[in-house]
Amino acid sequence: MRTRIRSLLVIGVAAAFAAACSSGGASTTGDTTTTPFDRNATLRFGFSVSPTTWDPHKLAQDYNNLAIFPVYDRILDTDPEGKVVAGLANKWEFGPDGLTLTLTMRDGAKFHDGSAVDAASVKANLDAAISGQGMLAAPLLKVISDVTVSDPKTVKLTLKSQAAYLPSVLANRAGALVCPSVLTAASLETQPCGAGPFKVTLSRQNDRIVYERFEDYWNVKDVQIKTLEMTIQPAEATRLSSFQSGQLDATYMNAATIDSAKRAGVAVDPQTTFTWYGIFVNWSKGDLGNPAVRQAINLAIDRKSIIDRLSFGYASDYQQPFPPNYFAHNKDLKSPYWTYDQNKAKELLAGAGLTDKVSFTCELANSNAFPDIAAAVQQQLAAVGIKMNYTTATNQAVTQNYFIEGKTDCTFGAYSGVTDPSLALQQLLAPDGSLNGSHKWLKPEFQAMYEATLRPGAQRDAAIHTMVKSVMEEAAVIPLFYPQRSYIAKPKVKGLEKFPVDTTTRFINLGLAQ
Amino acid sequence: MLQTLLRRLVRLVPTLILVSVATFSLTYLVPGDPAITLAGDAPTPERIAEIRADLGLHRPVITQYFDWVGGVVTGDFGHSIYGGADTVTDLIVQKLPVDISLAIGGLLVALLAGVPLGILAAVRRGSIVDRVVTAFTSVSVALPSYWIALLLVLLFAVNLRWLPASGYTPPTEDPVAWARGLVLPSIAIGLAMTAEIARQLRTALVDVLDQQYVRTARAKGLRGWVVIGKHAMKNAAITPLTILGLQIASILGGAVIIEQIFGLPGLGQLAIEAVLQRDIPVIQGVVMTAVLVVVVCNLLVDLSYIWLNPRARR
Repeated sequence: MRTRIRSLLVIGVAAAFAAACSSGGASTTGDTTTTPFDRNATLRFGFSVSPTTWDPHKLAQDYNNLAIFPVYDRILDTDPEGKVVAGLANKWEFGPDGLTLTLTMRDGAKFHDGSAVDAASVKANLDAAISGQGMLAAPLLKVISDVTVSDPKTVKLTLKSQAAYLPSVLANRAGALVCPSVLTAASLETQPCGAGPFKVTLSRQNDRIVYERFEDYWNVKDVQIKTLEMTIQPAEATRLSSFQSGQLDATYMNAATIDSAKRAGVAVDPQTTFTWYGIFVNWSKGDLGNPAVRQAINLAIDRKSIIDRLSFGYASDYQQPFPPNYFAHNKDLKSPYWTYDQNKAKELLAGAGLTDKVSFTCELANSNAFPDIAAAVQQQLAAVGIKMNYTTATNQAVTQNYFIEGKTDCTFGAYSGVTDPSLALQQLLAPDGSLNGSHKWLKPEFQAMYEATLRPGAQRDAAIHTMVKSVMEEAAVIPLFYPQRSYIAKPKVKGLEKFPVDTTTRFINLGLAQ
Repeated sequence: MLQTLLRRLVRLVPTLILVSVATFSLTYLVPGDPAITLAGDAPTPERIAEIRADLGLHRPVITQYFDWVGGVVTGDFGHSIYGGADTVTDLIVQKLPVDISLAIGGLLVALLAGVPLGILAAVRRGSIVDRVVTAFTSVSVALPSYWIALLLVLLFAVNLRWLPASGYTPPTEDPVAWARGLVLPSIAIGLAMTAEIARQLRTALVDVLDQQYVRTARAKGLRGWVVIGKHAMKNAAITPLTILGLQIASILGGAVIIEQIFGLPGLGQLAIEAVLQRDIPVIQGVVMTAVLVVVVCNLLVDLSYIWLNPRARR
């Protein structure tokens, strides 16, 4: 996750994009039914980064998904709300004790090299992802103790402990299936081979990727373009001018550029994505361990003014760790949960006997908008008598000092979410969570709550919502805002109307109108 | 001539050693631990130590330096810390054609526009033409290349749609698309150079045209363009040539911004990504390549002095 934060800190772009589309049975967004697609069309899409390798199990950052998902179908998939749906496996089922997961592979799926997608190929991929050299997917799969092929279509995963999050993991890069013939080949770094809707015919790093429709794809009828040309342009202004000059059919803009696009007469449709900017507090440190202080901080922050000043007005004031369009969001809580109220903040501090006594220092990355956000927060907290100092450092130093060693009081970061709410809650709250600078549970009850989210079954969503409620009551994390993004597309582009929760366009039922 | 060349080459050695030490030191001077960057989603101290060992960061600095220099001498800059099949040398070789194309384009613009303007202004010294050229060069030198680039994109790509706003097509793939894609970036990067060359050439040519041997040539009845082309230009070209040599470095520097604006996948973009990701081997490779390019260009400029001015051979 730290990688995620870093990528956002550093690239400032990232993850984003995505769109509409169905995925492995997911519902289709956008008006794709009334206008026939030109199935021989080429879609020219502007993106910001290309993968450093085509081995999906070696990639750490979610923003790579946009480029690799067209090539690699996963064992499972997620719908736009983040719920797991069928992928290359059309059935998945936990055993009664939650310690096995049985996957049934769909009929007729093929890899780009012509071989069949079957249980043996799943085992080969999972074994490689768990034990291969340099596999960044391995930590997410470490709960699997054994992969057994029950029959050509059935794979049984034996688990070390309950892991309800595993289907979500198998719906992401860790569950991407690579042609078994190249799983260990060096060529995989530059020449992808998967079972996805497209084959790559040209890949020039940070320049251009050209994909051609894979005619033997199991769901080829929903692949509405023949060719996908992905042009890699990190600078948003460049993507905008490329779009305006007719070189791109579609791309996306982040908050900072949405106004530029608007001024240029381009239609924009800002939407909230999964990423939030916020304050990570070390509750092992002084007054920050006091819930009244964390609650007062939440009440003292005028999020709207921060959004207006620092996210150009294009952000949403959601305060839960999961946005409303994600199934982990607790809809029973009031929204916004914290309403800007300086008097109430002062009362809370007075009630705790801490009027004008709270002081702490955040160390934050000297990149992105964090110093500006910290300056605004500092000013607002000072108004209620909280003294927040801040220093800046490199991303790596912040990671080392806060996330790894827990030496600093707090930091500011952009959290782009994870594959599954249990993993997110683990990262944010568990003692070994990579985003928990205090390295202990905020309160002992959190451990039992977290373990409940790991149990597969009908009660899982409720367990997640219960924990989210407790996280909000305790002000364990302090999200400030969710930045918005917008697609910009030519009118003939259909099926690109909505960012799914994982912000990764599938390029299924997406294309150009005839 | 050969002796002079060898002497100049030997003089380069200390420069290159110093640059290599400075470049190698980046690993330790740049804040931030690349091992943490690489550690992925769930970095543990053990994983970070493992990565550090993989990268060889645990070895003595002097050993690391000599290993690295040994690689550089044979054209091996190592691997990006992010892995991948391509070596740093591969990455540079992939990107370099973009910068070579851009440099050639910029130089072409500078020479094709700068030389005629300089000659025109010198020959018509004091006239309205001279004043217009002087005004043009003053404005062009003052305007930042990124601003010119944005104006060019707005006018020729977004509004008129005559030329692409961004992108690079290798000449082997489509020579016409390659040339079209380079027109705007070349103008953007070459305009300031055009102005410099025009100004310097004008000044040098004005001096030369007043000299006795030029008057003699004219008195012999030689045509104006022969006098300028055959007699005056050879002496007047020395100063603009110096400027041209210096401009190579500024082309490389300016390319970083121009590549961003025009979405060109060149060394500048590679350098920016590497810096943002603390990918030290790539940064070192790019810096050493840029230094070598500048050094070689300066050497060529030195050699051209010798060709133009035999006294410089001593």
